[in-house]
Amino acid sequence: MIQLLKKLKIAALLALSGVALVTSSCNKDVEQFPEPAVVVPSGLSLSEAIAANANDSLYNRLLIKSGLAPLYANKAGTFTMFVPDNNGMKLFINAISGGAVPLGAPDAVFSGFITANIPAASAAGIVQYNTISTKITASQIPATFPNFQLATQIILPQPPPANPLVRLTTFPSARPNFAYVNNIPVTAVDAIVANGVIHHVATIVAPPTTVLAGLIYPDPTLSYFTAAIARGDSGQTNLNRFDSLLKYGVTNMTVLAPNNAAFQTLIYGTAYGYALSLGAPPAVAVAQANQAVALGPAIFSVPAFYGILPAASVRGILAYHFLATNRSGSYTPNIRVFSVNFSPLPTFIKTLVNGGFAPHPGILAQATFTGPFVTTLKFTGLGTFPPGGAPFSGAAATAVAIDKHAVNGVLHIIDKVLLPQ
Amino acid sequence: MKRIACYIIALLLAGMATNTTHAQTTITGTVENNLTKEKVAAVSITVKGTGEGTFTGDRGNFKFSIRQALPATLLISSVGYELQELIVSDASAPVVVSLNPVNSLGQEVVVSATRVATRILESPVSIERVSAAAIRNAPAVSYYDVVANLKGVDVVTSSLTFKTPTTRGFAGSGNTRFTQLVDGMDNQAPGLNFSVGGVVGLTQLDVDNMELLPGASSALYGPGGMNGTLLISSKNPFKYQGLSFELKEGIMHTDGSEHAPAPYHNWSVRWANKISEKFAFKISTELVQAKDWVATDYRNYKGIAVNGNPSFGTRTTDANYNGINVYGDETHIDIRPVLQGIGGQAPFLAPFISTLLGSPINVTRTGYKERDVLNPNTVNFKIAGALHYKLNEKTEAILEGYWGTGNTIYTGSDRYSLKNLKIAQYKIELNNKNWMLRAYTTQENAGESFNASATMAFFNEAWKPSVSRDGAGNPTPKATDWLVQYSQAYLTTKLTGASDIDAHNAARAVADVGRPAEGSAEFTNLFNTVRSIPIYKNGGLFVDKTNLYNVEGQYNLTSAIDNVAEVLFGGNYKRYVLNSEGTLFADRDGKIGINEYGGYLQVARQIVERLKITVSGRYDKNQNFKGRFTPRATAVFKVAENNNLRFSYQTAYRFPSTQQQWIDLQVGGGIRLVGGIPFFLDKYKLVSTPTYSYESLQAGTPVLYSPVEFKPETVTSFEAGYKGLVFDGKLLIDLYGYFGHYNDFIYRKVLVQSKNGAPIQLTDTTNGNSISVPVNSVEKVKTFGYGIGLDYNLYRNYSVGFNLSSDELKDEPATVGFYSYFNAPKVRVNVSFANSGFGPKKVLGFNLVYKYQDGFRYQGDFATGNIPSAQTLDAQFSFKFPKIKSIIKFGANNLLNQYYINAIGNARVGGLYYVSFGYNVY
Repeated sequence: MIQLLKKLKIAALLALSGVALVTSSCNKDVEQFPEPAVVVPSGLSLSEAIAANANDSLYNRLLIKSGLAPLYANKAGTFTMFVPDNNGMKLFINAISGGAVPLGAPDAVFSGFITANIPAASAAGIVQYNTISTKITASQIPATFPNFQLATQIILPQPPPANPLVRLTTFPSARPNFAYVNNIPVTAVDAIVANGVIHHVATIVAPPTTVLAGLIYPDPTLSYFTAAIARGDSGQTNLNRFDSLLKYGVTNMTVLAPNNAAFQTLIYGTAYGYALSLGAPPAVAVAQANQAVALGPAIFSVPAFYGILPAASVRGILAYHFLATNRSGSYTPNIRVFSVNFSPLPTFIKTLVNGGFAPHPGILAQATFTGPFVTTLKFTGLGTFPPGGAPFSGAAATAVAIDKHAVNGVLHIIDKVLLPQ
Repeated sequence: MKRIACYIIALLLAGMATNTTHAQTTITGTVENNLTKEKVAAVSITVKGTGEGTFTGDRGNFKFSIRQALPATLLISSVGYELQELIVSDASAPVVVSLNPVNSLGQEVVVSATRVATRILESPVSIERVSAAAIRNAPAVSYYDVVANLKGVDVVTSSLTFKTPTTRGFAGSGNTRFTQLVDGMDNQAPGLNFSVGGVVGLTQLDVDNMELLPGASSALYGPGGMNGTLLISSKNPFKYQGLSFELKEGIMHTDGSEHAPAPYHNWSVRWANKISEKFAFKISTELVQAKDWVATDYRNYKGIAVNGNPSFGTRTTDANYNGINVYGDETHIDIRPVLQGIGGQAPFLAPFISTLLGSPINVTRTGYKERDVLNPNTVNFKIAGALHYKLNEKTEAILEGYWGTGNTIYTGSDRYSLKNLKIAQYKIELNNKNWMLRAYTTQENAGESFNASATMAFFNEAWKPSVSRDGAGNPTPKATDWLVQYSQAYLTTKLTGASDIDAHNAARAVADVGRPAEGSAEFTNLFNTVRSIPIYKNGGLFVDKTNLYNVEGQYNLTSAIDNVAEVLFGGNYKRYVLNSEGTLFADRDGKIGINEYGGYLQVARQIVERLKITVSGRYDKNQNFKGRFTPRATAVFKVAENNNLRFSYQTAYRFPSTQQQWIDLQVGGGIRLVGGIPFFLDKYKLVSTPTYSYESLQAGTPVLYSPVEFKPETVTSFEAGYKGLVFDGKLLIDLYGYFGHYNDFIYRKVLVQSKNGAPIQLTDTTNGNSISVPVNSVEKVKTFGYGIGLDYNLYRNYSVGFNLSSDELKDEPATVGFYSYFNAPKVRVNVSFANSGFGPKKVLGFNLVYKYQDGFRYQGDFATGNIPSAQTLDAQFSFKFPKIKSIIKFGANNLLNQYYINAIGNARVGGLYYVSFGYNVY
């Protein structure tokens, strides 16, 4: 028995040694869950893809000049970039050089121009305006009217202090046969890269540099329109003023601005009709009409003519030249319709007039396309001049200048004043 | 209650009045250990053939008077010593008794198994017993830790002083399937539903013994105890007398990994005095102060409550990060509506924003780590006292009270700081040889306790609202709102082409500008304000002052029926008074009462010489539930002397806890816990408003919630076991195996209710109100397990012990959304090697306990996840100074400082090293 006990004691000591041995190994901590390996998207980044494409060499030069190439090489980001190929870049350079760099010049000349003549800040602005911070493939661009407004990477400097959420926007759109960015045709879509997608465009989509007021007021062909705005704004405040709207950077408008000739025609006819209505003989009426036209744009500020051009009437006519949509129950000037966004079929589009009279049918717009480009853009108003015609039966206004792009909208200059009634 | 108290007082007076005077002889003497010559305290000395007797005092001396004429035969007995008979013929000289130590394996007597004293070897059900001597020699800093060394026991450690033992699975901090009775009083906090044994109750020096009944025990102890019952008995001042104290000083956090090294203090004092043969009293107190273990599980928790998992992701890699021990980040919000609002205000951004809205963009508020929120300073102060008066030789009256207060941390459906928690238990009891009458109350006061998640969620809202709301609760976003700032900054960063997570991190940096820094004065002031505001007023405080009143009695008819059979019966009446002022229960309009009553009968008979059968049954009724009958039948078959086979069929059940009946609490993760009684169907319109199960929404096939009757849970258990002594009584073997199945198993089910009354969208689990309701499983839950225990006494007082146990869940119901919370390792092993006296004069002692448990999946309302396997080594080495009745002990819980956890979300437990000096610790 003693032997047995001794054996047991030895066994116990051995067991204890075993325990000591076992316990010398550490307890495991709770299981940890390592972060899933970050999957670096395969393929080239935006910057790499552009650099690798010989036909994008001029844009690559611009990208390098902008200093933004490293940003778009980051595969953790996501971007959509509208890139003109070399032909598109040549068109752009030819234009901004005033023809100094002919289209047939060697690539090196264009490249050299970019390096020497486009400041880095300007290059950055162009690149940023053509870049969206999300991946938009062609199928995601809707065909709805008028287009798809997307914020670019350029922060709008107004109103101060700059709000990083307030940005210049660009307007991709899709149509049955073509796609566009603003009014620039897209030539090739969906070049997928590791951090986004590249769409090739016909030329640089230039960022706007001023607001609509900045386009309209200095334009000598729009001096009547400018004066009419001042007349129409009398008695109004804040954003009820057309002037305020045109200067307000974060609006998004389409303005059909009748040129001076259009206003002169309207003023002549209005003064002539007004004189006849007062019993003046036709010769006197003609004289008075010529006198009115001779006053030039100042006619809107001559009290004697207030009766002919009441502020409310002017305001109504101007409102008819601001395209609008119904947003939350009220019509606001919130669409930017480039020429290519208008339908080739006669189509009614609402205007600010609908803000005062919702059932108003709006204006009738029609674009004529040649290939991807609009060659003729016409608008017809409800009223006719001289008065008396059937609705929309008058001569259409033709756009004499289209797609004048501003920060806060697009301007088409037309040759007739549209009348809402 | 008043009437009952009057009866008790009348009984006391009657007992006093019946005392009569007789001629008496006084016998004095001392008892010593024949081997070491140490004086032996608490030795029973009785006069053979009478009920007269006494116990030796702390110096081994005794003195008592007897009525019979000399000579008289004294029976001198004490566990661990040979019974001795001594004839006293002359009372003029002190009697000197030398007791011979003997092997005590299997010699202990237990009461809890049958409510009558039974040798542990002959217990009809599995039972474990821990004596005061075992506690004294255990390598454990607290007697509660000793329980963990027993066969089949799992312990959930919420914090240093908050440990919850259980058996046979279903471990959890607030385990309502395991009953703990201290001196017959249920020590479960009646409102908070967790046992407070470690916080309130007996002091270390006042524990006489602990008996653990694994398995169902409702038939004897009433509702609850489905998985086991732990009965802790205090020392009777008649038996254990004198002044005792123990000063224990230790150190924790020695590696400084989670907290700087910090001291551990544990001071306890007990004083008991026998004023006369009839009257004795005791008073004891204990103070514990330490820096608690710090919960540092910062893993990302994906999911809601039990239905989740730790996952990858950090604050900087996951905008929807919800750290397990990070609070305030439970507030998660989908920012898409805010982004859409921005798009509405800035139409030029709307198309860009629309490209971001494909799926929810959930973000969480920035939280604070537990170390910044829950003060680790643990203080626990306990004081207890009792007056014992012997009305006559057979009847003893006891007036007893326990009061405890302190700070600790508890894990329930959340992490709770139990701050200045106060719980008291007061009891009056009459104990007769044949009957017992007891009335007690548990008075609970949650003090300044608060819910960590709710506090920090409201802290965040108080600092900067997520979204401002009007008086009706409708969102009215302002530029200064956290979510608006976050969303704008997120969008701004996205507009630069940044990655999603970079945009989120940038947004958080913007929205968190000015966030109170941890520990700053601003943080402290705001934190103290919010934690002091009741939960229903958007704070973290719960104001629980729930009380329990219980009256019970038992009568043993055995002698009255001439020992034809052992017959006893009893009953009890219990009343809960819920009082949380709406912070925990749906009692904002006033206190809520819950009444329960029950009765039981047990009959035992020796059928044949080797076979004893015991049959018992119990009926209980709760006012909110139908009555239940729980039978029990046991058989003990004597294979040979000291070798018995046991068989039992037991049933148990539990009424849903007070919280499962009446809780109404918003917790972390945006979930509201509600009770299961019909009241809540109306209050939260669970039927009239479209309400779906969370899992069905996740699966994309919404199923409308259809409430059914909420019933008590029952378990039926079959058990067979063997306990016997072999190898000349030196090896004690204990084996058991059991199988149990649960009916109407109670678990919680998360529902998602439509906020606006409209049907919820498929897979939409975030927009609705999440409500967790307790329900019954329609399928049975089955468990089985076994245990093996071997205790061997080597020569020279060395002993080794080994036990292995296993519990498993079988055929877990496949019901979607069912969670068993089984929470038990498949295998756990304890190995011990000890000697309570060796070396010169046997003054040296040591004890080593190695514990191992398998890893297992832990399911909890706070968090669910996998617990890794763990092993620990506890050790103590002691040196006795017999002349001054003192002992110095060097010990360590988790000697090798191997951190482990036993529940997700709890702190990791490291090593605690201590040295103690004890005086008169017996």
